[in-house]
Amino acid sequence: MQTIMKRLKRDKRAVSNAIVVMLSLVLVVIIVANVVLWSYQMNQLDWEKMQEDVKITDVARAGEAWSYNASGYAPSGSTNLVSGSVSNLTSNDGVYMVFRSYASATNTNNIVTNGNVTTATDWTYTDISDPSAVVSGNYSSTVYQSASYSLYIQLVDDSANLAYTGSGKQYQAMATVSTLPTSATLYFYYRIDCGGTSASAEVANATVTITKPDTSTVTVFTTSVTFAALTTGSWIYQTINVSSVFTATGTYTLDLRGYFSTTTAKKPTLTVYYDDVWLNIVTPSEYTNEVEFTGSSNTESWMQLVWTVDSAWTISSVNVTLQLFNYTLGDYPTSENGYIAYTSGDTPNTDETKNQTITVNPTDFGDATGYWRMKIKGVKATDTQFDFKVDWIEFKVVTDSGTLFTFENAGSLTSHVVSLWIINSTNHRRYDANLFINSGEEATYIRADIRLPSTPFIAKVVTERGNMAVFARS
Amino acid sequence: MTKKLKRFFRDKRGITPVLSNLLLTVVAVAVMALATSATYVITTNLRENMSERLFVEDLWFNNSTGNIDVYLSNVGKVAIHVSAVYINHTQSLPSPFNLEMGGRGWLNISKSWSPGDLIYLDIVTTRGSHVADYYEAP
Repeated sequence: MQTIMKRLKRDKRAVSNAIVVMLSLVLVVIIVANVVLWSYQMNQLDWEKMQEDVKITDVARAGEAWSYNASGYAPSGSTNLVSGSVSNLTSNDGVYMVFRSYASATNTNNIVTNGNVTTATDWTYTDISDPSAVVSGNYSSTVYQSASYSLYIQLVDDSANLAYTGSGKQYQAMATVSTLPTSATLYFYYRIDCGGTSASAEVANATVTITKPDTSTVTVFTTSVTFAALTTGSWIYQTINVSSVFTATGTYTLDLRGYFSTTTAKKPTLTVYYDDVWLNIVTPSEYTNEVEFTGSSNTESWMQLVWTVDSAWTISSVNVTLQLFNYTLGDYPTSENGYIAYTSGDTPNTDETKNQTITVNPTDFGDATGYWRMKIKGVKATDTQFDFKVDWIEFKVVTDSGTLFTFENAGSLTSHVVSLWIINSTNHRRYDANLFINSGEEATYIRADIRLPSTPFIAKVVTERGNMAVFARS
Repeated sequence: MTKKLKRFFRDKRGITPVLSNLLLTVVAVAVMALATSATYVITTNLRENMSERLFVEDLWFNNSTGNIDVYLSNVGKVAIHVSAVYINHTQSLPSPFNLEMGGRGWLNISKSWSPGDLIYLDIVTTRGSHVADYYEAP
């Protein structure tokens, strides 16, 4: 062994070779190791890129909601406030502001039958007071205002020794009044004649009364004439407002009366004629309830507007229109945004909530100061007055506070989003981003600086590894 | 002491081996330096070629300019220098376009297009990497 070592120490020739070989091997190892290492790194990068699976599940405007209620009101037409105030409109709590409707359309009906006396029917004569049996009544076919007859009540004094008094009436029970009229007008012609032998102080009186359903009688017209000579009277037309007479539904009786008194030895014939008798009653055929509410809001950029009305009606099946004033249009819309029409339910006094969401030009519905107007109108063809009970009015705006992205990482690695793209037909806009999404995570990401364009648009995200996810909104 | 130094300089017997060893060392070091440099150069090129990754984030058929704008992103490990751009196999060389590692930017290509056109875009780097795909003009 010692011998071998001595020979080895003495022999220097192989040392240099060994060193060269060793150094070469080191270099080769370094080269190979580097190549393998870099190859591994880049393969790992590519593998990670392949494993990455980021999706955009939604891109939407991020908003902040601001709720406002009505602060003022203005009834339209003859609508009037019954109870409550705008402070009752702040919540859906069953505390109402109540408005009463008004008659917005009417029907006019004549309730007198055969008023122009074209036939000898429909009227009945009876004495009111005739102790000497000198008063009578009938149809006259010779004296009339319009063909073919007139009604008359007549006293015939045929005694030179007696003075008479007496009275009679032509009457009829008119058509039944089933709805209280908003107004009533009586029209008729009358004429008073004094015929016979002579006259000195003969008195004839024409009186018209209406007997109500409760049998009380109201005198709506009376006039007296004292004749000192024989006289042929003229037809006189009367128009009398009798609205106050109609206070209840039922049957009303119209009396056309004649009262007479004569003097001794003159033997006059006193006659009261009536013709063309009309009693028009005006009844409502439609009621309307219309109120405009006003309020304030903010002046920010709105991306959505939701307006809500919760109300009830004291009658069923009211045709309701809810309108929000469009300041760009300069009027209340009659269709689509800002317009809701419906028929209220079959059950009166039942709250119904109606709302509409406006996403297209919501700022049209507020003025430059954020002021808004809302009109509510209920119409029904009915002869019954009804009330509108409004419980809650809300004007809710959602202001644009950026864009909300929702991502889903379905890959097995954490992804790093570095770019956001919003693309439409006119612009391709890139935004820097710095968002890490863990594997299997659904992440939301709000960007206040990104304003979405009108649809259609495309949103894209790019990850640090060079993958892309696309979301299209049509 | 003086005597010892004189004797040392007068004695020539150990010089040749020392010089030969030194010379051998110098040569060995020089050869190794050359080998190392060559290794570095060779492996650097190889590494850079392997590390190039170019990604087209967006391609915009720009109506306002009439050009084609490509947004490129360097997701590799080395800087990228675009040497040529081919549209439908026709070279359309933009101005020099470089992207540092992690860099991004618009590459504006002057090329007229019409709606509905289908183009084949091929971007070539100085190291020979290609990024190519078809795009249809809106």
